[in-house]
Amino acid sequence: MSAAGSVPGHGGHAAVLRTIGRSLRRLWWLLLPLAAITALASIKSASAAATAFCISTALLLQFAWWVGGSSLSAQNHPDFARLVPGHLRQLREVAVALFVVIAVADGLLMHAVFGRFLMFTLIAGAAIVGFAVTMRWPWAWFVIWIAPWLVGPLFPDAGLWREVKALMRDWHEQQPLTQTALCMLAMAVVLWHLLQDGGVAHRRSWRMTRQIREMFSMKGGYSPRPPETRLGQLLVKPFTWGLPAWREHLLRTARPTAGSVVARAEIATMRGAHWSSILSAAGVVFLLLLITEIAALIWMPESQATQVLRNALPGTSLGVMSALFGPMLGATTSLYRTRAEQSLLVLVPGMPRGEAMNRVMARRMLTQFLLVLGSGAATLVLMVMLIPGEWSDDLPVMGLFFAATALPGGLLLWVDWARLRQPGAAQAVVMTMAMMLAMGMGVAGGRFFGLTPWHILVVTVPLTVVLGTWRWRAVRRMAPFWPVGRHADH
Amino acid sequence: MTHTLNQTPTPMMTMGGRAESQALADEHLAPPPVRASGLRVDFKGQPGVLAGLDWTLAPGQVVGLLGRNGAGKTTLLETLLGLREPQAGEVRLFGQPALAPDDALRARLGYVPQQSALFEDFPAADLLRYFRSFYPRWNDAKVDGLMSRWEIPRERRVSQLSQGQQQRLSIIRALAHEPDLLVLDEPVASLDAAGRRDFLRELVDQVLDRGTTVLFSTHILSDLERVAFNVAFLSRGRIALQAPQDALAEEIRLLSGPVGRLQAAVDAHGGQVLNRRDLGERPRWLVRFPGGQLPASDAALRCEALNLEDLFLELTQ
Repeated sequence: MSAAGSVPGHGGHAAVLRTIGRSLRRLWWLLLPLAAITALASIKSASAAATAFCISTALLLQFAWWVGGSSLSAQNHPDFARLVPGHLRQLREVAVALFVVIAVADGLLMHAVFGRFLMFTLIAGAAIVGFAVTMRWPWAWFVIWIAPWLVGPLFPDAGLWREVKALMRDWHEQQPLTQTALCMLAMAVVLWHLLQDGGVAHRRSWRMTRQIREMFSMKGGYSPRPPETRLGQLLVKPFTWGLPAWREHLLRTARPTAGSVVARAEIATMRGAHWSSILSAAGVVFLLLLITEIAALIWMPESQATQVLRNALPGTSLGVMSALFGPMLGATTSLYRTRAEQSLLVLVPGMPRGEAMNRVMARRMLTQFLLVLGSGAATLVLMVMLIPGEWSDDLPVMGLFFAATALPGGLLLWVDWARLRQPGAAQAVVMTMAMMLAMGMGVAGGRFFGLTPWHILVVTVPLTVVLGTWRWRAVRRMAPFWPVGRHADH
Repeated sequence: MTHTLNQTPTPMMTMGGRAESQALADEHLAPPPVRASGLRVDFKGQPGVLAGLDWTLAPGQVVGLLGRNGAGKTTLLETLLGLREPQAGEVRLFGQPALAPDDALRARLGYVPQQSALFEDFPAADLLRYFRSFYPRWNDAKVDGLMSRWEIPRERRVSQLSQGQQQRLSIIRALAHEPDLLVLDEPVASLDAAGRRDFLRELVDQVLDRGTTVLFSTHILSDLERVAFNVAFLSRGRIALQAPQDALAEEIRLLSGPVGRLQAAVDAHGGQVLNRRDLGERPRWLVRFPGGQLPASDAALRCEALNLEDLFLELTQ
């Protein structure tokens, strides 16, 4: 670079955008469902196709921000923010520009369907900033997306929220342009400051967000660190007792058999995706939910308790199954990350090799998937059974529909692990979308065709058996699973 | 091209001489710890990472494996241990196929991979207890002694140990079940000078006590000079040269001069040309003179002895 021809801090916007573009380019295939949805809707009518296109594109743009925001956050390294002239300003400018472009584009798309351009621009902007806030403070994810589902139904008549909504609505009716402009400005300022300047707080949040980013991108770098403070350790302990307890049990009862050796090997390689870790954490949450439910049934009038619980169950149901499935699908991450550990474990006496390794591991992976799925479904059934009265709609059992629909998904664990490439963001997206699709399909089946989760099981159980039988032959022919990824470059 | 020089007794070898000479004597009776034949490993876009590699390690040998970055050292070590299937060729460890080892063979193998931050969630003591559960033999006294001597906090998680401590712990884990073949992939990269010396002493003790065959890759040539009785150079997918260090010093020379003079010197002294570099009027040949009959330098021919670093550069460029 010529020193004479360049001004420090200028010309880097293109580089920032190129980095975002590289992340987005890998997700080009998301245009396919957009095209498919539009094509399907066009069968009905041209206006239906336009509506489907506008809504899908608006959602897709939000997703693009998800990827772009993650990329900006990843580029906001504390060292560069502190040392590279102009770097932070460029990131902030790009973030604000993307914010405005996506929010306005979303507003226009939704305006084409529903009208109210300014309101939808505002909503799109709020969603963008909401996601950015959760990138900076991961706990905000819970506050924004989960807590309202859980707390809202308990306080259906909460005055404050109603007041705020009414105030915003009135303001929008009277001064839509002013409201939109001021709110967008305020959100842009928030977004500007969410990208940090390399100080101590930035380093602290960088470490935390890196872990979150790696967890979501499934790149195999995620390793939850135990909290350093005594309070943190105390708070985390109820959720993390499962894995060490199971490890102790396995070490006490260790025998030189394939089952015992592989069980011990899984402890070290699956980590957070190990069934003992998932179930111990989820078990505590289930217990708290059940206690809450029972408490509501005991202390609230029956009609109110029933209403509150029915309102709360869709979100809870979703949360329960996500809590179980997220880590399970994260097995790819864990196994990719621990391939060096697997090199050592493959050499220990008793570890099956060759086809025997694949047989033992494939069987165990599917069993653990079913165990986790069954535990979640059983908990949900229990929660549903505790609520008195007949069901008038299917939303409360969304989780059960999901469990029934997702059953064949366990076979996704029977992949050629030896050829596994470093898992990328696209894989996380596919998994997330597959989960949402399974849930949607289940609920749609219930709503439009009057199906129950049992009906879906009648289809998915034989399907799983057939697919499993076919896949089992492939598993036996594959190269030994461990160490994973060793043939990725062949 | 693979060149393997015969071993000759040296002062360095006297450290491990008893075990090694006994091992050499037994070589014809027992299968060698490592015998690789015709190994070929190709990666996508990178063919010939291992290109028909043949290699045999004798019992009790300590071999330092040298090669440039990306030469395939880790791939070779993984393939030797059966952790990676070659596209062609075979590895036998103590006579058994490396890809299908029985439990008895596995109990004889020790491995320290390049990455030392392993099993991050385990406290150090739990990690050792974990591995103890797999092996029929486990030397608690050695583990305790090394843990104390190398000052590794037992209750601290692996992720919270320093890199040097992680590497030491990895070495203790590999030594604890007293393997007969110890393979170490850059085991001293994260250790300071004192740590490296201590580790090398432990390695020598291991060889002296048990006649363990040790194969380790490293970039730190001074460590090789201190401990590796044999040095092997990996270049272009093959073992380009393996020899005891003193033999390298005595028998390898870098000749430079006109091609005619170089060829005449090689012919006259029974030399083997290991590498030729054409640098215009004065090409440079790396030549081994097995009998120790060395040509003398004169105005037209220059004959230089090389230290390990120079030899490494000449062989691997």
